[in-house]
Amino acid sequence: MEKQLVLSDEKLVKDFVAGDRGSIDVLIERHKAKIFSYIVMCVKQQELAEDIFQEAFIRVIRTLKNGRYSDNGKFSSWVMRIAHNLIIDYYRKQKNQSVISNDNYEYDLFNSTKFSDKSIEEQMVAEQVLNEVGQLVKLLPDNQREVVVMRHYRDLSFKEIAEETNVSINTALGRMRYALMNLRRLAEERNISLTLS
Amino acid sequence: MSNTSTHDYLAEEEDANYWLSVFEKMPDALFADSKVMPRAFILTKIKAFARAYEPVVVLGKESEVIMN
Repeated sequence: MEKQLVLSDEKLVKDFVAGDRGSIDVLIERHKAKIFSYIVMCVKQQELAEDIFQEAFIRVIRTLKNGRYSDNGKFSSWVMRIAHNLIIDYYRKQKNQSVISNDNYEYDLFNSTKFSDKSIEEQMVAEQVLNEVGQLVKLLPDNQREVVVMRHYRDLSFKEIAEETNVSINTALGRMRYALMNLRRLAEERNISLTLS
Repeated sequence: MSNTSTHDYLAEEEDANYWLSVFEKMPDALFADSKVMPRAFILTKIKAFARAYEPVVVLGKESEVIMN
């Protein structure tokens, strides 16, 4: 190993290709700081930089071992170009995925209870409210209940509701309006809170 | 919903191009005492891969094996 430390990059590359596996260790140790500094300067994240560094050297090893390396410049520049291509690939992949990162912001927009799963208590309240709404719907006049069920339980459009009930769309809309007014009144009369968190 | 991103990837690509041109001109010796390094286990993994990797030709096609 000590003897290898004084060898040129070209010689170490040739030795590695010829089967001296220790030569790549010297090349890695000799150039790791420069290549890694370049990657960190671009991506500014240690772990991501390490992933790119590792992938770059794996490509280097594959290229050397498959005899596809043409010695036409500095070894470190060649590895840096491989790392550069991986960095550009990473940027383009991120761009296509349209990932919005909060890493650079103190406030995390997505770290909100609005986006979190409901707690057991919230689930129970929601279940109770839906149950009470169901009870109130049963109290509506037939034609209004019909529209509410079709719209909110069967997810039909007002056009479809109008066709199924043989009325105009305006009549269906009117029935829904009266149904909602009646539901609010019935809820108030029974002191039922229909607010979901 | 349209895909929108607030991140300027084009500017990052331009930065990467700029830094590549700068680093290529810097002498390797400048980094001799650098403290910016990948962690040791990353280097160990790469060196282990170098020892385990062996390209082979199977039925006229290039292939590879990882020897444990």
